[in-house]
Amino acid sequence: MTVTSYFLPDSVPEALGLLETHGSSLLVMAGGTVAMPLINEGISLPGVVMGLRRAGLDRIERVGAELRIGATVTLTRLLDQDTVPMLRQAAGRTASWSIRNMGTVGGNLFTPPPGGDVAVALLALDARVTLTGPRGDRTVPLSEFWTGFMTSDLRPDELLTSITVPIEPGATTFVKFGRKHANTPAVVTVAVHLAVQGGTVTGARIALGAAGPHPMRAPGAEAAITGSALEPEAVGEAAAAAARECQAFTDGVASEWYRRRMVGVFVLRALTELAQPAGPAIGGGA
Amino acid sequence: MDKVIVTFELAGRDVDVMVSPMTTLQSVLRNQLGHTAVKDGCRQGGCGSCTVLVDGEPMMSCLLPVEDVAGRSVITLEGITPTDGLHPIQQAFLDANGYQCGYCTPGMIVVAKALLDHNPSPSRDEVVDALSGNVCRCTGYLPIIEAIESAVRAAGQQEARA
Amino acid sequence: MNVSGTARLNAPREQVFRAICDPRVLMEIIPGCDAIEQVSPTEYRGVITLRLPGVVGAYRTDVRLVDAVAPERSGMEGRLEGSMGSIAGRADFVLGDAPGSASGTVIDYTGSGVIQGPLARLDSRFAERLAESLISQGLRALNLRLAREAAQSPSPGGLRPTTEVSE
Repeated sequence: MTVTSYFLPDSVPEALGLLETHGSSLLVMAGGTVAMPLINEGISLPGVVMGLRRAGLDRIERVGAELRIGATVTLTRLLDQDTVPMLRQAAGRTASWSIRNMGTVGGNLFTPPPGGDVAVALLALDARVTLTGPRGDRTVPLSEFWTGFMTSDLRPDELLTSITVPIEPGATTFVKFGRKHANTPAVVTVAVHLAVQGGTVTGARIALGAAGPHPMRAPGAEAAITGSALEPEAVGEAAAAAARECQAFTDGVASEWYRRRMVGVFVLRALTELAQPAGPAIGGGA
Repeated sequence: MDKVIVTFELAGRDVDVMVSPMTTLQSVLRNQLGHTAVKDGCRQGGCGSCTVLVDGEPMMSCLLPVEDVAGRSVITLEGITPTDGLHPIQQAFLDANGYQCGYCTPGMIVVAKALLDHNPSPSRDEVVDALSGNVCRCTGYLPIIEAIESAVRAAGQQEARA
Repeated sequence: MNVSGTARLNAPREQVFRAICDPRVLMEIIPGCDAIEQVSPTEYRGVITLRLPGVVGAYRTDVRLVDAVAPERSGMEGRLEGSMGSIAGRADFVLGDAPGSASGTVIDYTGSGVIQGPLARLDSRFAERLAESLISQGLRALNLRLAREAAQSPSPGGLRPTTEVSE
């Protein structure tokens, strides 16, 4: 093991101080579910490491019409809340019980491709992230946070400290398709939030995971479904649009061809589910 | 390189270990403390054979720096096994042939114990979901699931008699 | 590992050519590259610090110009070495005028590299996507740099700077 020092700061200021002292050679780790496999494999060989488990970032609380989730809140704790049902669904489809007890919501935003699945739900929920640095906090919409393949707006002297989710009424659904039924990376993940009034879709957020360098919205699909009553034609158009506009790629899990097709299939299934005669499943805003 | 001393509770008793920074809990349990029921399968958090309970919650010890469990309670299969006889879950695995080579078995039993501590009468789906992080190459999983279900029934009967 | 791509730069071909034949410029635009020093007029070395989720590492880097045909093409050989392994490879650039623009350049790049050591355990497609991402970041940085150069000084030979800042 190459590590000469492993720090477990007790507070965010202490953590930021360590970041300033050690700069870009400090490996920052939350739940360890991404970093430790790489360290164990000998692919990552850091000298100094900082763990964030004790830095006080593990509060989850409802404040007015928002759910504020500390960056090191574990995925298991998302299963214990029902303020935002789609987050429970997403967490339940991520990894396994032991990994959920260790992996964090904040860390899920940095999962290497094919990417984190809770992150896809957060994107569909229009979440914002708070980035804390020596000059204080700044907030970035999640839709603007990822800037490319394994890159984000997080500056070298900042930590991601919390994720804020608006609690709004709407019809939501989440589906993750993987090669196995559980504990598997995504071939494709689809998260949908629809605002519905009088049976008509007035607003749509469709987020795709494992269909691009990071979780992405599907604006063409969103436009196709907005203003509709979720009729089969509109749903089909939205699914086809999503398949066309996504940035599917090939990796060890699936080929670009297959991913692109599965984007179409699962956007279709997700929107069809929301169009059921019993009415869309309403979640949030409770 | 400076070593560090970490104190945590193992099977109900405090232990102190001296380690290089970021030595994993898996390595400490197996190599320093003799808890070799904690297996070393993948070091990726993918196979579950290293599963231990930290404050009652299952975690992959291969992904946990031992410093992270300072002051917390850790339980391995050695900690679940009573001084005489077998824990009811162990007995259920024995009776149901819920193992062949035995490599995944400690992890399976540790998760089963955590499951039943959280939820004394899980459905089959809940059992399957709880085990989704533990891989078995031998049994095809059904004997393991049935072992756990029979442990659930046995505990229920015990409750009824109590 | 093989990578290739095309980018458009908002600067005239001669200016781009000068930049891509200068190993120092290339090192300066690589994200995270520091401690750049000259070994010879056509060779530079530096240190690239990679900072990705879960991975931190410093790589000694050498870049050497091996081929140049003004103002069309150039070739570089390079090597990265760190405790996680090494990459040895070559990159070739071909320049063309951007259609429909007086002062734009299209750059086609191809690169190939051999990865050794623990890094080689990464899926090669993942490594390629990562390399392509670093190259895109580098080309964006080059675009900005060329725009700054043009804005700061008039070109020799009476050429009027027409570069636009596109970022």
